[in-house]
Amino acid sequence: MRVGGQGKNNKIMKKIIPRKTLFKKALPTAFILAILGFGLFSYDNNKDFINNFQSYHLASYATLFSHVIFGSNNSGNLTPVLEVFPGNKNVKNLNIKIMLANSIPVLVYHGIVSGDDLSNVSLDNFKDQMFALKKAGWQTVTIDDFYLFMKGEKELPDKSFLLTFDDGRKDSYYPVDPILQALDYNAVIFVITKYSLQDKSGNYYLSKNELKQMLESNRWEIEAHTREGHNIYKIAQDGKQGHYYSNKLWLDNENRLETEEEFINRIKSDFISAKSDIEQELGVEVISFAFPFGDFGQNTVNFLKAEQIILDVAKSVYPIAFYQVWPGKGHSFNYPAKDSFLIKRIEVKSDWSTESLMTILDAGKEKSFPYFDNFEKYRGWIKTWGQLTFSNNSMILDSNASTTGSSAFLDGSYLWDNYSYSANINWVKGRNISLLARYKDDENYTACNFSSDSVRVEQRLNNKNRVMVEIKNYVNFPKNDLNLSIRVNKDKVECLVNGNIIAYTYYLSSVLSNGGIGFKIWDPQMNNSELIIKNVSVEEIK
Amino acid sequence: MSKQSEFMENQSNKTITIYLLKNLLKQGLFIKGLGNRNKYFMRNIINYSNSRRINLWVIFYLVVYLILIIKLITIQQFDNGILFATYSIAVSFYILSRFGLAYFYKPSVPDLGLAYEPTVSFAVPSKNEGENIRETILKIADTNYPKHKFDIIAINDGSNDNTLDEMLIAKDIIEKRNSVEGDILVKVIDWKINKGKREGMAECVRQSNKDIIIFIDSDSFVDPEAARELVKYFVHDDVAAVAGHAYVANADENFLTKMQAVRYFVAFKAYKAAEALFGTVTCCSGCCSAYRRSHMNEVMEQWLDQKFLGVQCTYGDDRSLTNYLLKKGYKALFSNEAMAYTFVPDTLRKFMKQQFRWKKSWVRESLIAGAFMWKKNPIMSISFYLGVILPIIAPVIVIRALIWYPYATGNWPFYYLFGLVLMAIVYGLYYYIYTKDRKWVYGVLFAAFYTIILIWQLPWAILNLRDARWGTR
Repeated sequence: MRVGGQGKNNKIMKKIIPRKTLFKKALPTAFILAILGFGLFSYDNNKDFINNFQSYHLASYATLFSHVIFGSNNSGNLTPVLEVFPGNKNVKNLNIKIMLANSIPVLVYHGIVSGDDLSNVSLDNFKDQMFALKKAGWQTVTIDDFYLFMKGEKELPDKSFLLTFDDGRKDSYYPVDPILQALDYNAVIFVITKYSLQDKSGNYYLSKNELKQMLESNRWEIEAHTREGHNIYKIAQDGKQGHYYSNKLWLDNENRLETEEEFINRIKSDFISAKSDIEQELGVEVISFAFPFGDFGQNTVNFLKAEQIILDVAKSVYPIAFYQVWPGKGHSFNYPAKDSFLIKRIEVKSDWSTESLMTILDAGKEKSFPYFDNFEKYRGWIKTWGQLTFSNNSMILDSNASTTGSSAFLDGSYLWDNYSYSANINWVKGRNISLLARYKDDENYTACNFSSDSVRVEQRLNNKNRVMVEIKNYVNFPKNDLNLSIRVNKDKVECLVNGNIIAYTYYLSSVLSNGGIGFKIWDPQMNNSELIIKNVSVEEIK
Repeated sequence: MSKQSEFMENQSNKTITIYLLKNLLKQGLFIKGLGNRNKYFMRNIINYSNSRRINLWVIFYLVVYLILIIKLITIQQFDNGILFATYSIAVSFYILSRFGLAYFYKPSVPDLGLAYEPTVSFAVPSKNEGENIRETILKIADTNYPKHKFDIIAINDGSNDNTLDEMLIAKDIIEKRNSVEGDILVKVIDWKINKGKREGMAECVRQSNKDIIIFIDSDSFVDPEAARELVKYFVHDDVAAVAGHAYVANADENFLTKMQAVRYFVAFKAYKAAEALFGTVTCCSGCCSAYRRSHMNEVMEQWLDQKFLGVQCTYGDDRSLTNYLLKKGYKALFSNEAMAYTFVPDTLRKFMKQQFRWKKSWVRESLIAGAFMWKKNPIMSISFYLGVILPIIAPVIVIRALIWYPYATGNWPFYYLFGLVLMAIVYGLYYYIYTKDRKWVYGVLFAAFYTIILIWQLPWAILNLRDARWGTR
């Protein structure tokens, strides 16, 4: 029935639609398909970037762009970055004097947003801060280098710092990355694995894909922030809520609080899963943990032993862990130590100007002898309790209606060991004045405690105060233009009033072999203590 | 351009102005008083009008690009399910490939094609078309073709109105006009009882002694050049049918006809051309198509006796006829230049009835064609089977995307709707690029209309396959 075979039909069609026409049209078609294909490919490669783009990110890209075009002429006096190995502290053969870091600060940010809010810094501020850091010669380090530095196994150039971001949010990456690229910086991001690696919905936290991309860029390292612990949970029958890590949770089904064992199991499992999630999904090693909300038990509501347990368990899983430092924790930079586990981070607040960040970093940097301070400019005095003010070239510690005293320390004086520390003061009111030395933090220091009827040498270890020596009935105190000193030399502590040694001990604990200086004032009554410090000088004892 | 005179009347005044100015410039008649600045200005306008079409194509491909991106997103969203993702890809592939294949369709005829003048019969089977039939026949008589080489056969298929009178008046006018060049023979056949369109078409074939039969619907006006444009492809022996390009005559009447105008244009210019690239136009529509009489005669008996599910087939006659010819291995082509203007339903009720009838014949003839289409060019057969399967599962997909998905996930079916709108814009733009006609917007609206209303007709049509009633008649 059929007329003509397939072959013949094809021949006819060839005549009707000549090959020449087909070829002529194939070229533009192939061209358009190629463009479309290329477009699709580019889209697919930059999908996350396109989907997460927000107009304020443009400022970052403009920065990167101008940096690429006009070069890095605004990056100032860079400290030459060289690979430095332990043992050759004095690299002289290169004619470049390399200063080595004694301490390293860690900065923590959360999201970088278009307009700042309570916990997030604005892009403008962030960009400014990063450029100021670069200009001042600060350079980022990797977490591995930082870890080796903290163990004392690696030396790093002076003005090294670790840049970290908490929570693994998209707005910690997209606006930040171009700036890192422009400044040749790198950063660590602590991710909540539940949001980034498990639950894939939502558009707030970085996805697995994006994290992989970040790792590939070599500008980002990924560490653990928790799996479940970034929410608040019910911690009492009445519905009260609290942090996941520092409290026993309320078990609704059984109408009771967790037992200690259940608490340990829960946090241990979260520590482990946060680490293994990242290691398995992204194939990178995780060496650190950042406590959610910076709370490693100090903010507990219902479990007093939380801090000790949390630290013990955390140490069994991670080599180091990060928290946000507060003044009572002492010096804001991190100094290498054999057993360093908790790492201090300076949380950059959204209302800090670039100048205040730079001041804080300058002040936190280790100080050298001799030190003289007449309070013309801020050198790093940090209040840990009470009230601290500066006026008329003097520093004033006092109390108010609800406090009995104040204390302060000098940031960056941590490494000082044998020195004589004296202060010219006006003792306006208050029963006791202490000069603190070998100050590590509020729980570890030695002090000369002067009061109207005694001078005492004190030693505070792990927050346990011990009076080493007490000289009673020393009443020869002029209240104004008083010069008080404390001398620390190895295990010897001496307390001086106007140059006269009043009390001393030879038995200071070797734990307090180094540490900085501070003041403390106290009175049993509220609002009844005031100390005006006119100047301070510290000289090394050789 | 002059060929499209009637159609182009709709074009905007602006285009006409630019066209006139362009000609003035060409002929050096441009007003001398205009300064250099104004001359530049005018040149810019003209350059603008030339580059405008390119700009439109750029927009067209940008929209296509967006569609591709949405498809990519759809595939990558795992929660969408295999069926949904596959459908989504297939339907875009199908639609976009129509435009791509149509671009390649540029048929050529051998040089002798110009001298090739086979004899032609225009066949006009009609029922109750008193309103238009006179005009239809007179328009045919205006055909630019040697008068002695064509005749007109009109059948009055048991009309209840003045159709017969109008036919006779038309015959009269033509015969009075007949000149020395040759007489146009007008044959009017009057049936007192309605026998159906298929029987009418068959009778025209029987009455004709010409090589080519051109079927013209009684409510369609044919362009004077149409015959020549249709006939030239028959120089190839294997070509059994050539479809003309039907435009909508009452396009500006209302919302419904405006939508149909866009739909007709794309259906012919893109869809039919894409099929014609493989010589496999699946439906040489009754409103203006040419058939080779000798090939028709080979399938006439089967065609007239066609039964489906035990019921005599009385609708979808054109599609059925094309199918028989394709099955025999003959070619069916499409002529973009052969233009006819047809009246489309102007009320929703009539439109739905017509669509319903078409859907029924579509189901029937798709099943029949499905049995042999696999033997054709692989690209053609894949397109064909896709074109059959996709509309059948479309209702499931729409329910899933617009009802189940928002209900189950609480999300707006954003990507689905966006994809739909973009595809509609592609339709509209395609229309606009070729016609510069503002009605393209109705093409976009048609997509919504189609998704909300028309796709539901198909399941209903399948259930009513055995019902042989004629719908509009």
